[in-house]
Amino acid sequence: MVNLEDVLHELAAAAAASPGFVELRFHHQAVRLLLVRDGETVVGSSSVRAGVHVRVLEGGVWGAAHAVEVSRGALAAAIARAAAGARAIAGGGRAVLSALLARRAGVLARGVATHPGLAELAAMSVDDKLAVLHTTVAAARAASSAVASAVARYRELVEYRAIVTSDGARAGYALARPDAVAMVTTVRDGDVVTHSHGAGIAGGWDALWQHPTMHDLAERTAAVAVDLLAAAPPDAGRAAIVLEPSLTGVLCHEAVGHLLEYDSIHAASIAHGARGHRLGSSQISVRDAGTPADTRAAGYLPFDDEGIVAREAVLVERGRIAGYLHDSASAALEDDVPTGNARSWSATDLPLTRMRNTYVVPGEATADELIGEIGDGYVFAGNGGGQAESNGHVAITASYGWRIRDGRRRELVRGTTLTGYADEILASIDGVSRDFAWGQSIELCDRGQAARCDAGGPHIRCRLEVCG
Amino acid sequence: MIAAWPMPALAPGEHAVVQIAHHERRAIRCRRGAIEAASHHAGAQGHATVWTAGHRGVVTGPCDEPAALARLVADARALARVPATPPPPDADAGTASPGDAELTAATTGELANRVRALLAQIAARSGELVVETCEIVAETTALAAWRTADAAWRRDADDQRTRLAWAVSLMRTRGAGATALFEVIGCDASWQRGWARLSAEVDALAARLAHASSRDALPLGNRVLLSPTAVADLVLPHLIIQHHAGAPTALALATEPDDPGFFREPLGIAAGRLDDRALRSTLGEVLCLGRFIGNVDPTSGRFSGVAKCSWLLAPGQPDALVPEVAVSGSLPVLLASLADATATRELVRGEVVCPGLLVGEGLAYGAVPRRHVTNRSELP
Repeated sequence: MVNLEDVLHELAAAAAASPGFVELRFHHQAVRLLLVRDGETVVGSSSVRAGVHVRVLEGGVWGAAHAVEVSRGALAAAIARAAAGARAIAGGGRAVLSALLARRAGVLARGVATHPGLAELAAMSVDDKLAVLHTTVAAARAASSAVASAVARYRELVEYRAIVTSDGARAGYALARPDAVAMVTTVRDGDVVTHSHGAGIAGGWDALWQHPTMHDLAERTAAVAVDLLAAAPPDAGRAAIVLEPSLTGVLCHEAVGHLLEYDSIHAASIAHGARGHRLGSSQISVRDAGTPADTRAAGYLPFDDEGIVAREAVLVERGRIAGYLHDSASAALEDDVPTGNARSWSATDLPLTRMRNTYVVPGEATADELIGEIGDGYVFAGNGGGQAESNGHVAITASYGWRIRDGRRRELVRGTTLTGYADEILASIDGVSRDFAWGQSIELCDRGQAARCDAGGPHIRCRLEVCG
Repeated sequence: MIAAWPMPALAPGEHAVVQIAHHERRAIRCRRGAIEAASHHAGAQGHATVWTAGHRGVVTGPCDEPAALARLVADARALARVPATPPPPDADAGTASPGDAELTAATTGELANRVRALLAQIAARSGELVVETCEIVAETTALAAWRTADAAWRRDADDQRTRLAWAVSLMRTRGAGATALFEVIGCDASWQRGWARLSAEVDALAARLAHASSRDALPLGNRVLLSPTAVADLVLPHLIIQHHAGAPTALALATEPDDPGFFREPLGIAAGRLDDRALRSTLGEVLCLGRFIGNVDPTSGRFSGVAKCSWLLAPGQPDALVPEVAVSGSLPVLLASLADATATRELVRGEVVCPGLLVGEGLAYGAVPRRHVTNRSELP
């Protein structure tokens, strides 16, 4: 366990001794990985990364360095190295970086928070966790004679973070982000299918298994893997589609969130200077929250890696671009207040503008009503990940789905990739249901460095290209 | 100094491998055309694998003093749950690589000057090319390693690696009357080579992008070449699964996927005989698929997704850029139709070494239609 108050005390002393603006960010990140395959433990590993990221603003540019320990000598040396780096690139910076501090007043984080579940995970033994994985694998293998192999993986990310800045941020948090996944391979008459299902949250062991339960995870994964043996791929081409909540989340993460991460928006991006322009139909509203009401959302974050309180960012309001995801510098460029979206994976990473928990605001319909109005189309489910480009192109992967004919859910279809351009997809949304669920994805978002995010929403109906 | 560290005590019958990697990394980041940040990080990370009572535990963590190394060994012992037997004693302690002295000695200021030169190089090629973001990273890792043999610690040879990586996102803008049309080319590139090679690669990439025509539709029946990046994304994971399932293919040269420690050998696929002349003259029209994103069933090999930044190559004509190509098919069928592999291989994302693969069947494709140009000025 890390004493964050002690860390903050040392960081504050080092910051006070620095003449210019300095940001000192402490990381202690432990990842434990356990994997059971067909009754045998095949992976048991642990990895820790720790240190202090030091960033200095000088001459309109950033210089950064890394201290391996929290001591005043190590921090002073890192501050000197960071300042030397800034001086080495001076001349290419922008005045706006010097002006960014004015926009931060009033949104600086203070205090220390410990998220529920951390002590619970720490008190639980490795053997207890492994026993649950073995039970999961056994349940999956017992589900059908068609199950040829079953794997259960548990990953536990425990983060301690503290930040002190010269302009007044002084805050820390401790939280755990566990995730678990079951993967089942089925074989019948020479055909083979592999299907996986999992959940990732912010919280403890009991919270992880609330939904789905361990038994649910094994049974559901095996059942779908068996049923998919008899399923055909969907037809390629443009189709009317209902996305279940986890895929709604992936779509809004890729088509809206990445598009509006301000640090990747260049003058030629469709999102640059587009505030107020229509990006989608009037049925779609999208937000990104640091501290949603459901504290199990996997991207839960009380403050960002610049010491800014993680506020809710309104991205799209009734189809129109309402705002961007900002770090301090990009907020200054737009004359906005920072939203608390600057995130970095480790103490050696510069922060990027990243999402936290991105979601589509629920509407008025029911999922059955959305399906009932489709003559020929699909319902897709199962988050298989996604990808986005700054030209607005988006691809998301569904693990499985069902054909819709005459307003009714028909035969199961295999997983596929769904693609299109963000503005076209969002403009085609003509139905949003009133239910809501976080996707609780086990995947890390990758932009050169990882970030734990969540995304969710209701069922939505839209048109997408099915890759077949 | 690390060489003189005392090694942690082990119980009788225990076996261990420990490594300490001292890492130094300098990076320059540009956004919106200007250098914005410089970073310089240095530190040591330790790795310990301990075999005890028929089980193995694997731990990595910060390691800047002997006590930290002792903690890593103790933690690995405590975590040992995977049934495993120790590897046989390694007769060959390995050979140290010299590293790249020029790169190791580069200062932050020199890196910044290199970045400015690369940006100017791109701008000189075409005013239509804009650098959206770029980051250049120069890093050197020095490795010290020990292992136990006959109940005693033995020092492995030191090793050193240097790496230069440049990730750039380029956009191409094209004016058309009062409306600025644009296309986005998501090009991520990294090289494990020296400065001169990087400069030449940047020049070739900029020239190709500046002169390329564009295609939104594709005629069917083209031969398909999977680029090294597409091979790494689409084919290699399937081959690894098949290899470890007991059905290795002739192309798979996989190491153990859970081989612990630093400096693992990259996975690779063997090169073939296909050279650039054959690609651009004797084969006729060839569709070269770029980075693959989408869904691959790792066991059956069924796949569907999108190939980004693909190219249509035709003899005597400029290469045509196809930003997005929808693809689906079966990897076993595709690999059965393998006609050849390129004679040169590329290191993809610093992880795997792949050639391009020329295939005849098992893959259906079509350009992803763009129904209208998406420009912010056209957003209602």
